[in-house]
Amino acid sequence: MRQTSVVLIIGGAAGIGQAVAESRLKNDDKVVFTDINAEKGHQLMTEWRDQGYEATFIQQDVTSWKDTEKVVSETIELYGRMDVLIISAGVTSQKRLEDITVKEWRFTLDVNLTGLFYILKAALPEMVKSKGGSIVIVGSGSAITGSGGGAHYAVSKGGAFGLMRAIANEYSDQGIHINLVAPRVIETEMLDILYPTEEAKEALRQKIPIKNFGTLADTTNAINFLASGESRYIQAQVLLMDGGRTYLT
Amino acid sequence: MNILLFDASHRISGMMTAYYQKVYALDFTDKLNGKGSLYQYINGQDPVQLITFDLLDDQDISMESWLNKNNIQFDTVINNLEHLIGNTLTETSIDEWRKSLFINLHLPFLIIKAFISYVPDDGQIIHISSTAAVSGEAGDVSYASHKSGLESFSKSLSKELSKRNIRSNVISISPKCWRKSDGARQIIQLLKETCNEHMSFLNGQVITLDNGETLS
Ligand SMILES: NC(=O)c1ccc[n+]([C@@H]2O[C@H](COP(=O)([O-])OP(=O)(O)OC[C@H]3O[C@@H](n4cnc5c(N)ncnc54)[C@H](O)[C@@H]3O)[C@@H](O)[C@H]2O)c1
Repeated sequence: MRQTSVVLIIGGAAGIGQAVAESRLKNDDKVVFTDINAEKGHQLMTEWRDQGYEATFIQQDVTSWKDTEKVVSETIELYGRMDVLIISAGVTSQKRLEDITVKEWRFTLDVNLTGLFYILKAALPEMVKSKGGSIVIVGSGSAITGSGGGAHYAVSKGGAFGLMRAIANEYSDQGIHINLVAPRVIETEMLDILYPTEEAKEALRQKIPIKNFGTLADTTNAINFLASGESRYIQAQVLLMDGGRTYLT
Repeated sequence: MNILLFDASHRISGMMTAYYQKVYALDFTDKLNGKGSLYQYINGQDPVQLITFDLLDDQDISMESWLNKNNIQFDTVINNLEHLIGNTLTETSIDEWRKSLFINLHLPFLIIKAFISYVPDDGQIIHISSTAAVSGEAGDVSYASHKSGLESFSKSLSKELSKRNIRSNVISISPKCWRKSDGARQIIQLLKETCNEHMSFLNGQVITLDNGETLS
């Protein structure tokens, strides 16, 4: 019989994080999910609990070390361990270099990169104590192409590659299984921010070899695979999910 | 060809003068506050201080005025900023992470934003990175992360600036190469080749100088 896992999802109140939370709950896992959006987080927790699932919401701003430490300590207090960590919180804005203000640059790097460092720093010692676990970082294909969301976004997502590899170097022999999915163009609110009109979306769709955007289910499948024992020998990898776009021009 | 290096060691700036007559360098006196001076390096002579700068002060236009007055453009901008602490994840404090982020990523952003209008069409930007960005070599979590962010920055620049034919590439160097007795010479040689205007088709790339060791 499949053992239930304790899954911590960072940025779980919308988009990819929310979809992963739903899929894990349907598998009877115990899900702790966080987000800066407390209203949506509490609403989802109530809905999921009403459906009989074991879901806990903790409000967190990933740029706050204090919030992050609290998330980890409350998860450990609740379940005594953390088997899977999915890090999905992120922000983007489509800007040209000359239009990116210093404030926007800092904000994007703070959420997407420093936030990632904080949760890894807080969670890893606990995961090691409970004999390891799987970590999946939601990165972005922008790190590879340098496009889609502006230089500040690409830099923040590129930084996640090096961070993931550094963690893998340090923790691979301590039971930590870590990988990164790099989606490009998944149907979520983030896509609506970058491509607000149907026309813009269609032009984008035509650039993708399979002529379709990725769905939340596609992303969830990939993340759950990388978070499972079935991908045990896949370590420190970047799984690009892009409908073939990056390499088939 | 006018070359602008930022925060290169005097050794690298000095060596560049063997090939280029006009080598300028931004040397920092206070990196965390974005303060320093612009120097000119001339072969066989002591560097000459030209003007001070303060990157964090929006009101400070002394550098801009000086560049405009002297009608200076930089054909090649070389980013050699680097901050390496050598700490593992648990050893890296929040402050150390922020310091590394500022020096390895925020400063290059501020400098490129400030100087890009002084790079002519057909000019180029070269970032010096480290193989740690790809291999995450044990020992410095912040450095590996921030150098890997820098490689994505270069790709963004190459896409955005291609309309002005400005190229952006990364030279990624292994720590062993820096330690080799002729390592600096090999680095300069590669920089020189990358700077070469005949390399106009080289854009958005990461060129690795590591004796193959990244593929261990
Ligand atoms: N949707 C895409 O096409 C796409 C493509 C590539 C990468 N990504 C990445 O996937 C991840 C999830 O994206 P999504 O499409 O689900 O976006 P989304 O906007 O639907 O969800 C992101 C979630 O992160 C939360 N968040 C933002 N800032 C936060 C903070 N400071 N602290 C805590 N939570 C915060 C938001 O409230 C939101 O719930 C992001 O990291 C994004 O960069 C998405």
